[in-house]
Amino acid sequence: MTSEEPVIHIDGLTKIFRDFWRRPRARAVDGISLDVRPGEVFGLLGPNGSGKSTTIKVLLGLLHADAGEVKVLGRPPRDVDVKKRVGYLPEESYLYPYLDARETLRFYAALFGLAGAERERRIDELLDMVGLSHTGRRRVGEFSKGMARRIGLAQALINDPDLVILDEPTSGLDPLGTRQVKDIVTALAERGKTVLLSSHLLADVEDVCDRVSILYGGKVRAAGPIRELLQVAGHLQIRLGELDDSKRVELLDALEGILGQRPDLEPTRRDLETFFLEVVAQARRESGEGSGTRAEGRLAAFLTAKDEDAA
Amino acid sequence: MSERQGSFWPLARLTVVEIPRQPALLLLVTTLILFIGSLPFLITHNLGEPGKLVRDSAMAVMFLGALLLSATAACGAVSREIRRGTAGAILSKPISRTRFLAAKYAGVSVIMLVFAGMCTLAILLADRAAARQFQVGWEFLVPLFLAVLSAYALAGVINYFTRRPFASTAFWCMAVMLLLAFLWTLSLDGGSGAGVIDHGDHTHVDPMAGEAVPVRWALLPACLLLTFAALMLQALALFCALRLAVVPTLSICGGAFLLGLMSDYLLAGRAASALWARGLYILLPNWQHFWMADALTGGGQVPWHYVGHAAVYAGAWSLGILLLALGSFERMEVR
Repeated sequence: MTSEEPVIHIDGLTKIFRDFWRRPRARAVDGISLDVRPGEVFGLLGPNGSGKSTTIKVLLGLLHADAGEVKVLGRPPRDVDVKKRVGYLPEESYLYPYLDARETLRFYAALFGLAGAERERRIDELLDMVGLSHTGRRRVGEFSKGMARRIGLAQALINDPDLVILDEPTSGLDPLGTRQVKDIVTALAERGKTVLLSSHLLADVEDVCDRVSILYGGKVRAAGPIRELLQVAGHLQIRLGELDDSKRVELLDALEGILGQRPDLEPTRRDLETFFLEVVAQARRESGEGSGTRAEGRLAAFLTAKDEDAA
Repeated sequence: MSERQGSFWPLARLTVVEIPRQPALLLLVTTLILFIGSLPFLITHNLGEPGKLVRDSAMAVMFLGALLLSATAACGAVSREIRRGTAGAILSKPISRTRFLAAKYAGVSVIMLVFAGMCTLAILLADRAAARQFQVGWEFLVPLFLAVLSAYALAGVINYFTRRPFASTAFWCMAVMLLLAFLWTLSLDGGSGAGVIDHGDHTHVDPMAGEAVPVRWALLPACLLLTFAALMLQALALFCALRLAVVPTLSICGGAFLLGLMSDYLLAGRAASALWARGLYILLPNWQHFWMADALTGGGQVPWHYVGHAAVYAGAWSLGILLLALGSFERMEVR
């Protein structure tokens, strides 16, 4: 694969689910085409049942395409060598309920041939990153949904993948966890990793994705860079710092003179996520850690290290 | 070791670790071992040869237990994982479907071998306990029951202090304890029991009571043959478990079990004249090749070269079933 080639290439992908008698039951994906370029954070958006997870499972070689061409890192999706370079977080955290967090990561690390001190170092860093280093021998079957999601995310990154596929990564996470996932995605992108992120939570996608495809009924309904898609043609926005009352009136009068109509002026608002994170950070400073996860928000060192160090 | 080679062992190892963590499996194994241990005092009619009924029944319990265990373990290792999504999560990693299936079979086979080993030890102990006419050899049964009891107690203590899962710890402890119990009874010759049995109003002289009761090592090849049969059942159960849940898997394995037991009676006569009968006779696993209880009557032995031939037959049949399973799994969609 050359650096110009897309990391994910899908051309005319169609997937039909059939019943026991091979009769078509549902056309889950209907002629989807998209390319994801190296180093890009690409969002697959759509409501439930729009074909996002099915597309991802075809990309992972778990489902067979009925029509169309699919290539991952320049090769067919079922190629075992391709999978060495892919990290996948499933829609549900599919974990072995009788294993504890460390055993789970040790197992997934072993599937990638990681062993010894390197494996233990990565496990320590990932457990610390997702805030589960204190769970000890507690079985993952006893974890809350958010904790299971975090361990799922850790296993997806254990091999320091070139392509990370995250299916609904923030589902079940609290706002702190959600913020952390977004930070991880941003950090991965900064290191030149490619991320395919599927979600129906629009704010998550908007925050981190470079480009998106919006799916509905198994078809791509809109696609392109987020900035372009969200631009409202003909509308402009002015951002101002602090203004006292007299200057505000003066400004409105001037704008009314130019535009012929008096514009609305509203104070700048933070979004709720930012406000929430500030409140929690303040509370944490005042009263220490709660009883849930204990994430410091630090990314695993091997994920932020330069490529030659991580290899 | 290359990365691709490395992916087999973690998966096989995980299967070995995960399956005994199912409480149902521990319950099944405990019941079967205790049942085998109870046979010497449940069966009192010896029909001439001391211990024959106990021996036959214990081997039958082992065979039937293998049938139940094969379905339970295979469904725990495969069908539940496919349904739960863990199979999909694993197959998204660098592991081929061939390797996945081979690792699963290897994992469940290890559990089956441990189970067969435990049953063999229990059968050897039960056989010694039933060797004397009208007298139960408690010196052989008490260690057996103590082994089960101490395994549970030890697992409880380990669980309390280390939080290791109780069910799997008890399973492995039971295997070790049964081995220790058996090794301990090797030091007993069984001849220390009184030859005169006091019935209160009269006494009875047991001609066997004063004699030593040696281990009937001839049971080993017979139990080994049953182990081969168990591994064949395991292959069939794994094939079924790819697409079916535990009840249909158990039904199909049960059907194959019954038909295989009767295949000589049902098909052997017709096999010479009818092609369908010949085909079915070859395809059906013939369990009579592995059932040597009658051969042991009257001090009979199972020759080791026969065990070798049976191993080849079991291996070939299992391989064929596993190849069919692989063909099915390669085309299968994992959601």
